[in-house]
Amino acid sequence: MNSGLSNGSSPSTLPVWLDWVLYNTQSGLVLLDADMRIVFANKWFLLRARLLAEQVNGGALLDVFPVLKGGHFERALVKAMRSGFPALMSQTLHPSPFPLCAPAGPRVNDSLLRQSIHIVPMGPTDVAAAGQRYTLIQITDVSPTVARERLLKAHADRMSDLVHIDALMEIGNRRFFDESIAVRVATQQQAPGRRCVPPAAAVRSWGWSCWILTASSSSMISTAIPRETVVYRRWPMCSSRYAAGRAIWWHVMVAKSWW
Amino acid sequence: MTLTEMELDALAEIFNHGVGQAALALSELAGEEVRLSAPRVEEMSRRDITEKLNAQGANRICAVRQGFSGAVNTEALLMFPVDQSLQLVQLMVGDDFPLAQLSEMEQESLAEIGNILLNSVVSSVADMLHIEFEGTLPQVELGQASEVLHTEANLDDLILSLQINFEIASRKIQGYLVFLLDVASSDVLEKKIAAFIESLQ
Repeated sequence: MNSGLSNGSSPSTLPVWLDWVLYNTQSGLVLLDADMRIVFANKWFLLRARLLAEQVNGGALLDVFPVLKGGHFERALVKAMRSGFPALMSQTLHPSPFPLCAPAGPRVNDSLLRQSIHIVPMGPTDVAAAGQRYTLIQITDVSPTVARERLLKAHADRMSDLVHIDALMEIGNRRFFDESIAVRVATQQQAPGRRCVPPAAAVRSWGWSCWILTASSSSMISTAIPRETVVYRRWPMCSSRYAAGRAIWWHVMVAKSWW
Repeated sequence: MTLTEMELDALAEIFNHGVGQAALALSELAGEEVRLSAPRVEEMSRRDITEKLNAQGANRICAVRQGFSGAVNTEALLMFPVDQSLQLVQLMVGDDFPLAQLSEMEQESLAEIGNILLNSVVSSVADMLHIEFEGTLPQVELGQASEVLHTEANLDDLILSLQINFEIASRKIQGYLVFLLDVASSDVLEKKIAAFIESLQ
């Protein structure tokens, strides 16, 4: 077992078990020196990157992983190394910065592991002791959490459909309209004339969509309907609720969408 | 610590530099322009900021907390009413479907947004006031304003508060950035700000 740590500056001062612990930690650990060269990468990371310690140790991170060049990860890393403040990269905003796959799975884009990344540069005290700023990159595989949340959201969507879609007509029911109007009016008060998004539940059920559009003037409604939509029926109404001293117009519209 | 009007203006200038950097980083992340503004810096008590958040109808708030230590020890918190934090994540992620609550993944996105803003602002303070800091990773907390601010400590303790206005895709979201400082840190900060003003004159 050689994690590559023995290539570091002072291996003799490290306890014997430390190498074993780092090697067997169940998340990816990559240590960079001040020149962004890889000093150490643990077994978890190497297995999922399908690389050997000899291939990464001493190499510049951006040469070993050219896919990182010019992206959000590089910007976050450079900023963290310069400021000395830790940074976090969430999987929702950056799903898979490193090309890591499950050890036994195929290496294609859609099988890349979903990653949550912590970039932890040394603070001033440790930099003074080490002689340069080392930066630790910790990568956690959150693919199972993403899959679980996706499943829960799909269940929540189905439950929402059951509550909001009329079982007989299979279009939005009264509760759906009431809730949509409340949401759209609130949205409209913040951004008058903004185009509303058709509710996903109605589109999925029929290919038809129910729209609720609100604006501070009736003419704005016509400009808000996209060309790809064929309007089947439209009911213009004027609300007694006022935004910025003006009446709010809202239309309930049944339309067929091409998308 | 009681800062003069000029010292508060100097701090606002420093914070705004950091806020500008954060706006650039967030715009790159969101793929569209994110405007950030921090109109003024105020010295407030924990009680005042709690009341201000409660007045916004925010029974529950969402906060991103990061600790910074060095010559000045501070806990920086970016706080939003929960519904505003949901909107912010939704706008940044580009999700059309309204979020009902912050799941684990969305909390992590909010932590990243807060991390970008807090790091930028504290970096700006570190660079301009020549203070070295060590930082911690961000943590997301949900709860009542009084719980998040640990108001049991002392309701009248002064904190530095900075109102942050986000503007993304014509939507406006208002949050507060607060720095909790201990007495010794307040004194050091006051001296550093005075030295900064002197260096400008």
